[in-house]
Amino acid sequence: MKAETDSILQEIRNFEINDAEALEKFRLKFVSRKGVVAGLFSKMGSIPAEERGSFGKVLNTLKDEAQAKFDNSKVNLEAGATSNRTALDDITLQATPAKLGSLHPLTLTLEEIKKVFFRLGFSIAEGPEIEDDFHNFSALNFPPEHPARDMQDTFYIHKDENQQNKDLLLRTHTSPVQIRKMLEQRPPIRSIMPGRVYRNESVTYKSYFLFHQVEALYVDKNVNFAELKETLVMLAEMVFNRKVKYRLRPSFFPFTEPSLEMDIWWDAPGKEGKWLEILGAGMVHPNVLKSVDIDPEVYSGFALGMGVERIAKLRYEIDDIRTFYDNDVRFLEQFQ
Amino acid sequence: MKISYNWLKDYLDFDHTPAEVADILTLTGLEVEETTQIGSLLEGVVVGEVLTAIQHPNADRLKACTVNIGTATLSIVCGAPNVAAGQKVAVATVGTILPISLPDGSPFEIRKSKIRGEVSEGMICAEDELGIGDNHDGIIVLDASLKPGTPISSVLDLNVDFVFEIGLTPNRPDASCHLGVARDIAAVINKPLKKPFNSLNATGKSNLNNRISIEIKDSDKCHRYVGILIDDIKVKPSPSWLQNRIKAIGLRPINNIVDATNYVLHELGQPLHAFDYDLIADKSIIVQSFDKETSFTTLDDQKRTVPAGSLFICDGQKPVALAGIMGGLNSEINDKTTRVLLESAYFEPVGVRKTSKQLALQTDSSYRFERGIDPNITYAAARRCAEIIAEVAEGEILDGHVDVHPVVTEPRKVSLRLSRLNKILGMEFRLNQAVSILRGLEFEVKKNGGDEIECTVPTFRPDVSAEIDLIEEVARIFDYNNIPNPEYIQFSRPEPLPFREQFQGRVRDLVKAMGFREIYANSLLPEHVATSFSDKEDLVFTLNPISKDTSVLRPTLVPGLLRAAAFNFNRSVESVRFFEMGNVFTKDTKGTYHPGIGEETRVLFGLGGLKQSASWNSEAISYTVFDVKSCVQTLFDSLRISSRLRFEKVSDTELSVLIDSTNVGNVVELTPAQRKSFDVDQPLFAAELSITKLQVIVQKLPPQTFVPISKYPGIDFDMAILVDKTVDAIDLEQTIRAYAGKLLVTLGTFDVFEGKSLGDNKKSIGFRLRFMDETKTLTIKDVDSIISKVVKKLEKSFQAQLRS
Repeated sequence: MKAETDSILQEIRNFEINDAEALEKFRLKFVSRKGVVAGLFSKMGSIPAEERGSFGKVLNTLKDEAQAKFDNSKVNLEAGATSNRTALDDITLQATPAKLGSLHPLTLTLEEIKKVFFRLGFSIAEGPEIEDDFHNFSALNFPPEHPARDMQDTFYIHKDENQQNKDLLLRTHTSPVQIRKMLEQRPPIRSIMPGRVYRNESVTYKSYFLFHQVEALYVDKNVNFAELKETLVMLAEMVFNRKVKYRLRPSFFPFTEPSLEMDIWWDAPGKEGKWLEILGAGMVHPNVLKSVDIDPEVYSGFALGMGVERIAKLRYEIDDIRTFYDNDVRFLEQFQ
Repeated sequence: MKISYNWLKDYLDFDHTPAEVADILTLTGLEVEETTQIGSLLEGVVVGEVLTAIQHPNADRLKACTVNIGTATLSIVCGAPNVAAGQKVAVATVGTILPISLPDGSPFEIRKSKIRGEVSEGMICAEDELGIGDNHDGIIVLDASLKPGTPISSVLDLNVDFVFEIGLTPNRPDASCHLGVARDIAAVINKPLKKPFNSLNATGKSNLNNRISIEIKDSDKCHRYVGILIDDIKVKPSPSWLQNRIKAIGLRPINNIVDATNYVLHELGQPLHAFDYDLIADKSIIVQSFDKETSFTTLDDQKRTVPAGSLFICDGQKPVALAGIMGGLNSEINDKTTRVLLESAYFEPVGVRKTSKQLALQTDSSYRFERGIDPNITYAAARRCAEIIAEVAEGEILDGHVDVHPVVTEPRKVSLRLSRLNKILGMEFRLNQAVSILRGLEFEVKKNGGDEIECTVPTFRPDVSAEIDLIEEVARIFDYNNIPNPEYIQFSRPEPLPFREQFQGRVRDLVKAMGFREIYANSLLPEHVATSFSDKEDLVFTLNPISKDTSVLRPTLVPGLLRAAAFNFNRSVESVRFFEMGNVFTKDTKGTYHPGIGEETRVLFGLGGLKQSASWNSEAISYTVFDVKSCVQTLFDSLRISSRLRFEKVSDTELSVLIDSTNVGNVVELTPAQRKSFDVDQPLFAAELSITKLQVIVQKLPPQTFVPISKYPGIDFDMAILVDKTVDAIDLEQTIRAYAGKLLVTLGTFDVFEGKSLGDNKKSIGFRLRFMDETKTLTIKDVDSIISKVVKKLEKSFQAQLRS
């Protein structure tokens, strides 16, 4: 008996109903009182009493399924008959893609960097793009007329006849925000300073007269170089999302000492691996702490800074910095 | 700066490869940016023995030879007149690339070939073909005892060298010469440095029998001046050892005298200048500056106007050199020079730098003076150079010298506490480790007992003046990478993120969600662009832009939108929908951060071109100003301030955006003139809003809480109003809002119509008013009185008529 009910169930499921004729055939065969399902009910009497319960259930399933298929097919056929599908109703026609907004890859990169620092407990601070000489240079231990100033070609806005400290210029780095932060808040200070900076240079594939930096500053009692090193490794691994092979090179920035630059080993498929510089860092120079009235015998700190463009170029393998400022839609839409 | 690997070996014994030396230098702070090989090791060129050399059957001038190269016997056709059986010669085997180029510039590779019918499997080389000389008269004949097959690199001096390009940081003038670079390596590998001079100071006679008098009039700018005379010199090309050294570091050999001064500059870091003694008037040297501009022709034959205050070397009548920068044409060494006055001096850095910058003239000499050379090597360098000149120019050094030394620099003394060293570095150095590193760098160290040492800083290290500088010296020679990473880092309590940061992120996300693409535009503009957006007197100019395109700070973000739109429209893009967040700058008496300068953060979103491209199911639709206006509305809804939003008409193409009565930005259709300077043909629409102002407004809002949803339905009332065409919709709207009272929850515009049936100069605007009361279901009766109040007011103020 089981084999018979199974095969009827299969038959119900496989029955194709595409028009009224098929629907009627289906009704006669499975739904009508003279159909096969009804026929089975009439055999109930010949089933042993103890199996009648379960046989009844199976029959009810068959009956319900046949009825449901009949009802649905009937509704669909009727709707189809009246709607009269046109060429425009062809579901395979192309649809126009919805328009999405997107963030610039420099924003995406900066947000990644911010996220890492927020995880490390840093806050964030900002300052003006037009700065004075005090914040941009002299408080950062750049002596007047020192060749260190040549490392950063400067756009001047206003030259003060009497006090060089009051010269106005386009900030050449985000370090002046360190000075602002330390002047307004006593240690502990743990903050990053992102922003736009300017260098009076001609435009080439690797230099532009403006770019973006993020600096981080940590000042507290007992901050040391070993901690800076550990922070740099955490940062590099979180930004590039993998273990990195790195090296630290002594370097020179007037506002840090000891100063360093960090290179990471870069393997590009099919190319020779090489060291690529990703950031500069160092222990905050005691002269800088003194310039903001923090006692360098009690407090120490580290600072680090990196170029957002440089990191974005590495992440996305972009080789021309000008690409970031052309705002070509074919470029921007790759980052949505 | 270029440093030669071979040259370093003069001062230090080491067997590190060039790559290893580059690593050592990089990790001690002299970053090697590039290592270049000079000359060729001539791989593939071996000693061969000529077994036979017979006349080529088809060519008079050629010989057909057989040559044993140890592993094989080769047939080689040779054109040299001097080739003969039994000779040992240099054979370039097949596949060798010789260090010379073919006439077309391609490398000269030896191939197996047939020369006039005879097979040739290599080449017997002349000097020039191996790049070791100019001789092409015949092949090189080598020592007869050499074994065939021996690589030629172990037989001939091939002058192979490696040159390091070092990115020298401005704090390290001491490393601007070979001796200084060798000193860092010596400190790392712990070997003694061999100096090319015996003592810093002269012994013996301190005058030159009145052959020359030297006077320093401006001792602030010149601390020391040493003169030495060399007689009977012959000016001619330098010997090859000197030429090779000069060429290795990228300089062009001039003559033996000039080459010798350049050599010592790159050896010891002391710039020197050689004068033709016979061109020095009155046999007198006066070092002085003038308080007026001076016209002077430098030895590169450039006539220069030198600013007042610049330091000159003068003879009895005229300037003969621009101190520390470049000599004069009037006294330079020439073919007829027989007597030389050699100058070695210490010029003060700031003065040299000022003059060099003002003249835009940087030389190897000014580069070193402005960073600060060793004030105590003056005499030793002069003596060293005189000795080299005497050797290469067959001259005679006059007994004695003149040394005028008005400002004496005493070495600094700086103390270092071991506890401080370890606290800053997070390490546990022992005192002796630090002492040994510092001594390796030629610091004199005195132990004071306890944990403190006193260091006498060598005068070639002007950068070391405080304890922290000594700490850096110890750390860099120890190698930063060897400092162990700590197991954990202490963590101070994080501060909450500033509201500004949260707010900017929120706005950026909202604008992006409205389908705008973020752009990054220049904040520097050409003047003609900036003045089409703002009055010239409100603009902030840069004083010294290298390009006219970067002469003004942007007063608005709009030019960035225009430029990006132009770039993309020119590339057949149909539609732009951009936003930018950034700072703008204007003159402002009070100033944001600095008096006179206003700096404000803004967001701009703009669009233009097709809102919807033509496709099978839609017509092409162009963007209008309402597409941008609706985004302002949506943004302010999201910021929960839309109930306070007001637009005010400024002109037919501009609305100002207000919150209460504060202007927070505008909505504009860009004018054809503004578009024309960027060649944008299509209309563009933009909203530019002040983030700085909105941030203050939003920060003052109470925290967001849930607002219960009204249980009672509202009631809609439509009214079409007939007015003169000159009446602005916004005025009708504001009147309706003002008189409809608190029950009015939304006001929509469902229809705008003009046509003959209404009468000339008339238009009809249909408004839909929705009223709602939180306490009851409204009926038309409840709002009747409100409507008639509104209508009355409209009739009175605008001569409006209610159409329905």
